[in-house]
Amino acid sequence: MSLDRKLDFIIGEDKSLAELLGTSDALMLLDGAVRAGATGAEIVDSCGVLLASRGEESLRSVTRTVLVEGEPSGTIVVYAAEAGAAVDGIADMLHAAVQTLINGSMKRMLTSEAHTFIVNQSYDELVETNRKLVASEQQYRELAASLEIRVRERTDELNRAYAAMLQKEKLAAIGGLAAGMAHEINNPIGFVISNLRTLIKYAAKLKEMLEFYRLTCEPAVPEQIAAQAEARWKELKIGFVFTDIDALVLQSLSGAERVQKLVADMKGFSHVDETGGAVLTDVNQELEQTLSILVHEIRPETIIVRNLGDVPRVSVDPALISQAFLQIIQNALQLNSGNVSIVITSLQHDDHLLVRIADNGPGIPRDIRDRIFEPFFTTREVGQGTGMGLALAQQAVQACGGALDVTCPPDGGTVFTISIPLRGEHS
Amino acid sequence: MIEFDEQAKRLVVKLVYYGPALSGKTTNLLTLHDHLCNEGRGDLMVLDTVDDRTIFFDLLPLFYVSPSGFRIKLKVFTVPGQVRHDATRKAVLQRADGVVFVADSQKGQMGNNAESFANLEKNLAIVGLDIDNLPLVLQFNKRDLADALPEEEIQATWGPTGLPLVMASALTGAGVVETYGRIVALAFDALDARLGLTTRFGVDRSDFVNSVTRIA
Repeated sequence: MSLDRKLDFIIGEDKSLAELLGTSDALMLLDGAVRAGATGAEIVDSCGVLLASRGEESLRSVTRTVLVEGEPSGTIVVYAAEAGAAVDGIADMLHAAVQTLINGSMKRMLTSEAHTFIVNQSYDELVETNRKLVASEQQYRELAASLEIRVRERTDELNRAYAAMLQKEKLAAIGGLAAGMAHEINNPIGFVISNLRTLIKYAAKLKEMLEFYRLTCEPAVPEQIAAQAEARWKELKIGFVFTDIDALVLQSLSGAERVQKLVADMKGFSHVDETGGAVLTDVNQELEQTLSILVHEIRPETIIVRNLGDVPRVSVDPALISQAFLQIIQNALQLNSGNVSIVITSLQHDDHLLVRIADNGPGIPRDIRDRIFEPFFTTREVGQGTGMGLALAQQAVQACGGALDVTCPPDGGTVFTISIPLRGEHS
Repeated sequence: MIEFDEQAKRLVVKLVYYGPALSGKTTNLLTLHDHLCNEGRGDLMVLDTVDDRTIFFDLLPLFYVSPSGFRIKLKVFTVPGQVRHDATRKAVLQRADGVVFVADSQKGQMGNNAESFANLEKNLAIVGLDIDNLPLVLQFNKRDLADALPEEEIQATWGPTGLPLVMASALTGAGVVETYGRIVALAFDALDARLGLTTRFGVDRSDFVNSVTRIA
């Protein structure tokens, strides 16, 4: 609502007599007076300005005061040849007609004035209301847009949580299966290995006894029998059997041992042997111990860089966390590349303890990066890897309340980061 | 005020009768018109109505000339009470020098009274009038009706506002001229304080009030 428009109309503003009369209407009334017998008639406003006039002036005249809203605002003059009741009558009639005209005009003007004012004001208010509506519509549009984004974010979050849950369930199922299988396989594989070892000993004894007969008893037997024995020896390829029997049994033994290790890994995965609880653990010490266990697997040309910071102790199960270290470092040591270099870093970052194990290998192709923590997923040839190492590592880190992440920097290599929340135990 | 011309020694004053629909604002003006002496009193102008309901406003003009030659025109307006005519109420309320709030005394009308009074407060603020400094008289109309709220109750509710209270019956005429006299006097005092009507223009307060409230 503009101030200008506000001042255009003030309801009740005074109107001048000239405005209210309207010349043509006034002249019509004056004509009537003249026709009724007056020689002339005129209307003069309060300042003496002649507003309308008809006929001729005469010597005799009568006047009537014109009122606008009770205020004397002008005069009606009626001229006549001679005074008398007739002139007064004409003057009274003209006066009544003029007053009626004035009142009518006043009503009309007030009504149209008020109407115009209200229409203008309502229009201004509508424009303002419209502006506000447009603004609020805009606001709701933006809200709707951001809502869509938030819904999408939440949906992604839910999908991730669902995927994680599925993964957990899968792992739990595998864990249960592994525990059962481990129990069933462990005993037979135990006596298979034990029996194979005994078989090696027994074979050695038989070999020794046969050699004894061959060397010691041969001169004593008749030549014909000795020749027959020699022919039979050759025919049965006993010389080859002697050498091959050890190789065969040793091979079987190594196979059986591998089965035993796989079972042991699976047992670790399902935590069937989980015993210790969380205690305040020095991760640097655990890293050193892990490296010393692996000492026979570290080739002489392999470089291990220790970047161990002064980190606080964390509340974890030391067996679990060193299991994770072992699996990750072992994974790096088995790289096929030439000079393996492994950088092990421990540091505190905000309220987390981070352990980074970085190698200089070829990195992990993007398309399989999501799968490396899946049990039984391996890129090595059949018989070379169990596919359990990294799954086991992740399971162990998660059991410690931490997270295991893998990144492949653009300049090569793979970085595994174990992050464990400190939870305020800085002792 | 509508107009103040120092040179012409002329002042146009606006008084507004406000209140809920059907509380008797137009009846107040009709009764006033019938009671007041017709000298200086203009014709009552009742603008277009639908079913006897005011849709624009009613206007009763009065005119006074002081012995010192200062002219004062008093225009008494009513507003339409119906909620839908808020724009008209705002327009009429502009530049008011005094407001009579005509409340309906009937039990069950108190909610409408309060709502209309809140509307008056809101619209005064919109047209730039300060309700604390504006001459305001409360009239409780329809005292002749059987189910009118007892006066003590009205006093208990509205007394604390400190506003002058007049009990009236516009149909019988009781309290109508008294209400009008109260607002005329209050408006004169407020205008006098601002414009120096008595000191600078020689307008006599009681002569003015008596003149515009003179009964036929």
